[in-house]
Amino acid sequence: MKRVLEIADKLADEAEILFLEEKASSLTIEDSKLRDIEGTINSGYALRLIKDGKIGSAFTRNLINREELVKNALNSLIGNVKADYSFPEPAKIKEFTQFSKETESLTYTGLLDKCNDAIHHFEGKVEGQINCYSGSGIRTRKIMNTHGVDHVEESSMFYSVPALVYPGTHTSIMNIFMTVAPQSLTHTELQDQLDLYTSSLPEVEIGSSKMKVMFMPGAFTGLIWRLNAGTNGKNFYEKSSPLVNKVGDKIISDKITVTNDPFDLERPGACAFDDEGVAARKLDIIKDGVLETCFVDLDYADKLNMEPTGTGFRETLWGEDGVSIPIIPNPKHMRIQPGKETYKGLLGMMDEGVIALDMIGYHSGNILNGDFSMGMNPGLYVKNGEIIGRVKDGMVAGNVYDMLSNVLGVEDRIHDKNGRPHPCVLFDDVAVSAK
Amino acid sequence: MTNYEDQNKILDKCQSHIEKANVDFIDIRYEIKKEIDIGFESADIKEVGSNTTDGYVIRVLNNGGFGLSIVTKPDDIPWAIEKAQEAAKVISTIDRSELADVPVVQDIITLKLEHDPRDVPLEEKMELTRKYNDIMLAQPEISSTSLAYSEVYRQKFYVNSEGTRVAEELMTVSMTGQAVASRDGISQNIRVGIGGSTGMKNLYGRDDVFVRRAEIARELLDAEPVKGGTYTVLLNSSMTGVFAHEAFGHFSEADGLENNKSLREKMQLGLKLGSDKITIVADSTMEGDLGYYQYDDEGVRVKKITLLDKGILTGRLHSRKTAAGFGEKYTGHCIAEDYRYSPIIRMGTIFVEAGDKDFDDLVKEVGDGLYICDAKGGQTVGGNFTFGAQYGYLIKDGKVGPMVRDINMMGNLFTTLENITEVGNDFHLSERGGCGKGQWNIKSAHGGPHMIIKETVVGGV
Repeated sequence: MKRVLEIADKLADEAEILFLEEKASSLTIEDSKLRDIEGTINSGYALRLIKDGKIGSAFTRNLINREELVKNALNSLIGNVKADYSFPEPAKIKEFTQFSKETESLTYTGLLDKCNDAIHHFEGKVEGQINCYSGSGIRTRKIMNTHGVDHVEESSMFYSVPALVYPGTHTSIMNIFMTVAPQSLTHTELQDQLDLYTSSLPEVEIGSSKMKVMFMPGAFTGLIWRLNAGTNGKNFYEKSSPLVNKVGDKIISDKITVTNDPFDLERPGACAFDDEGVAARKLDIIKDGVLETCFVDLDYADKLNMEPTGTGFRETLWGEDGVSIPIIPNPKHMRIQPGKETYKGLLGMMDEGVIALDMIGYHSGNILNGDFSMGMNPGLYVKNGEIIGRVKDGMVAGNVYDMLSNVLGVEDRIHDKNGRPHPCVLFDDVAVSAK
Repeated sequence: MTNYEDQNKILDKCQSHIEKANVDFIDIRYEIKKEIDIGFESADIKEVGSNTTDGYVIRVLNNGGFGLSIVTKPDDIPWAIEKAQEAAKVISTIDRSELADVPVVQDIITLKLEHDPRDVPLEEKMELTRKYNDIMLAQPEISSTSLAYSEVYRQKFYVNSEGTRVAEELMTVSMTGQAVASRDGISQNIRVGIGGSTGMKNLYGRDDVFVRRAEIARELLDAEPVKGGTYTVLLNSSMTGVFAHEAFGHFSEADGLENNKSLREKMQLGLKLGSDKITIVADSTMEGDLGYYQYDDEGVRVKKITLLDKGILTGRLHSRKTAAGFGEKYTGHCIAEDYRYSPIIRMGTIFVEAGDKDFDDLVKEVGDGLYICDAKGGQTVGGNFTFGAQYGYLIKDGKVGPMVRDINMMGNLFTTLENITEVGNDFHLSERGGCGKGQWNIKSAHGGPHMIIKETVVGGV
C-alpha cells in the first residue's frame, strides 16, 4: 500500500488507499439437516487521488500491478469530478478490540456444533421445519493517505440464526444472534423464540383498519432506510429531503432518539474510523424528537460547510463488498435508543394490534418523503395483550415521520432480535391492510 | 478483447489448478470482470471509473458431500481447494448430493454486438449520460436527478473434472437513475432505466423516455396516496413482469423448494395452480434479449422452460444438484453474479405469455379498481410476495381516472394465480434487470402483457 501511495504521490496532489479483506465461513442447515458449507477470502484495494481539485478513483482485487491501479485512477480524472476538499490529516482514533482468536480458529465442525445446540432445543416441538444459518468471519480494514493517516483494524464476527418455519411457507420466526466470539444460545433465548412461534401458528384474517402496531427490531429496516434518506447530507445538499431547514426543530415524538453509535461494543461491527480515514464519533441525529444534524462524507461535509461526521463508507444500507462502490454518506450504526417500557409492558398496552417482526417490500412508497407500504413477514395479531395468531396477507402503510410522531412507548433495551439493533417500538393509529 | 487462443490458455490454466485434486468431482470458474461506471447527481458528475477485477470459485463433490470456496487471489487457490474438500467431508457425513448427468461440452462463445461499447470512447459515454441527465433536469419542477451509466463486461471460464471447458463473454449496459420533482416541501420521484445486452444500441435516441419520466414525477406531485384495501387491479407489462418474476419465478427455482417438504408438495409438476388464462415461460435463449446467455455457471446450456401452462405447473428451474435431487431434467439456470459468489438458481428472462384482450376491454372489465404501472421492485418469501408500483390510476366505471401514488400490493402466489381473470394482447420485456436473491443479477429480464388480478390487497394510508 505504501508503494502505491509513493507512486501516486508523484503524479497527484494527494492520494488515499483502502485495503479490505474478509475471510468467512458459512453453513446452512435446512429441515434440520446440514445442506451447504462455504468458505471465502475476498480482498481488495480502493485508491483515490486528488489532482488540481479533481478526484479520481480505481479499485483492484490484487496489488500485482501497482502502476496500473494508479493509472486507472489517473484516467478517471477525465470525468472532472470536483473535489474541493482534502483527505484528512492524522487524528487520534478511539482504541478498542473486537477480535476473538476463538472465532478465527472456528472450524466447520465447530460451526455445526453451535447450530446443533439450537436445533436440538427445538426438535419435536415445532410443527414446521427447523432451519439454522451460522457463520464466522475475520475482517481486516486498513487505510493510508499521503498526509500520514495510517489506521488498521481487525475484527471478528460470529452469527447464529435459528429459524422456525411456519408449515407450507418460507416465513419463519427467526432470531439473529451476532457476537464477536462464538457463543451458544441460552435456553431462555431459544424458549422465547419457540413460544413466539407456537403462539402465532394460527393464520387469522383481520381486515383493514387503523390500529396499534409494534415494530420489532427486524422490522425497522424499512423505516431506517427512510430516516437515512431524510437525514443524508447528500439529500440536504440537493434540497430533496423533507428535513432540509428543520435542524433544531422537533420533527417527531420526544420519546425517540436516533443515534449513530460506531462504538457499540456489545455487538460486532464497531469501528474507529470510516472508509475515508476520518475518526468515527457518536452522533445524535435526532435527540428527543429534535433534528440535530444530517450526516455526511468528506465531499458533502465540504459542500454543506460542516465538520465530517465519520460516516463516509463504501457500503450501502444493504452491505456491498466495501471496495468497488464509491464513498457515500452512510450511518452504518444508526440505532433508535432505548426508552422506558419493557416488552411485556408494550404488549400489555395493545388492546388490539399487530406486531411486525420483519417486512418485505422495503422499497415501496416514496422513500425520500418517508412514505412506506410494506408487507409484514410475519405480522402477529394481538388481542388484549395476547398473541392470537399470524396475519394473513397483512401490510402496514404510512409516513415514517407521522408514525414516529405517534409513539406509545419504546422498549428499555436494544437487541438484535431479527437482526437489527433497535428496541421494540409501539405506534398508535397505523394503517393496516389485510384480507 | 481476448482471442480464442488466449481464452484456451486461460481454460488450460484453470484445468491445471484442479487436475491434481483426488475427488469425485471438482470444477473451477474463473472470471474477469471489467466495469465502467459514470455517475451524475443533478448537475454534478460524481463518478467516472474503469476497473478490472477477477476471482475464482471452486466446488468439490466427494462421497456425496458438496463443498465450495471462493477466493480473489490465485495464491489462495490451494487453500480454496483444501477448504472445499473439508466442507465436502463434513457434509458427506450428514447429507449426500448428486449431480444430474449433462453433456460434456467444449465451447468458446464470443460477443457479437452491433454497437460494441468497447469501441466507444469514455468521453462519448460521459456526454450521452450528461445529455439524458440534463434532459430530465430541464423539465419543470424537477429539483434533482441522478443518472448512472454502467457497463459490465464479463469473461467467464469454466472447467470441470468431467471434461467440460466453456468460455463465454457477456456484455450488459444500462443507464439508470431517477428524477425528483418538488413543490412546497413535498418531493416525488420516478425511476428511469434503459439498456440491455445488445451493446449501445438501446442507449441511443432515447430522449423521449427521459422527458416522459420527468413528466410523471411532476404529475405525482398532484397525485393522492392510494387508499389501502382490496382491489381488482390491472397491471401494466412492467408490473406483470415483476409478478412473473417475484411471485411465481422465485417459487419455481428448485433451490427454494428442495429442502422444504411442505412447499415441494404444493409445487408438484402437473398440479393446477392458476386460472386457464396464465402461461409463464423462462427463456434465456432469445438472442438480443437482456437475459440471454448460452451456458450457465456449471457449463450447462440453457433451455427454454414453460413453467406454467394455462395454469398447470409444467416445469421448474434447476442446477445440476437440484435436477438430480428432484429427478428432473437439467435446465441450465445455475448462475452467479460474478466471481465473488457461488452459483445459485436464477431465472434469467421470465414472462407471461400474451393473451387476446385489447387494453380498452381490460379497463372495462376491471370496472372499479386500480391500474398500476411500472414496478418499483418486489420481494417474495415462500408463497407470499409484495411488490410496489411507481404510480397508478384509479379505474372508475370502466374508465381510467386520476393518478394515485404509494402503491404496494401483497398476496399469496396460489390464491393470486387463481385470481388472474384476463391477459392482454400486448407484450413488452424489460431492458434492465436487478434481482437481489442473495446476490445481484443484472441480467434478470421480465415482462409480459397487461393483466387483471381480482381481490388484491393493496397497502395504503
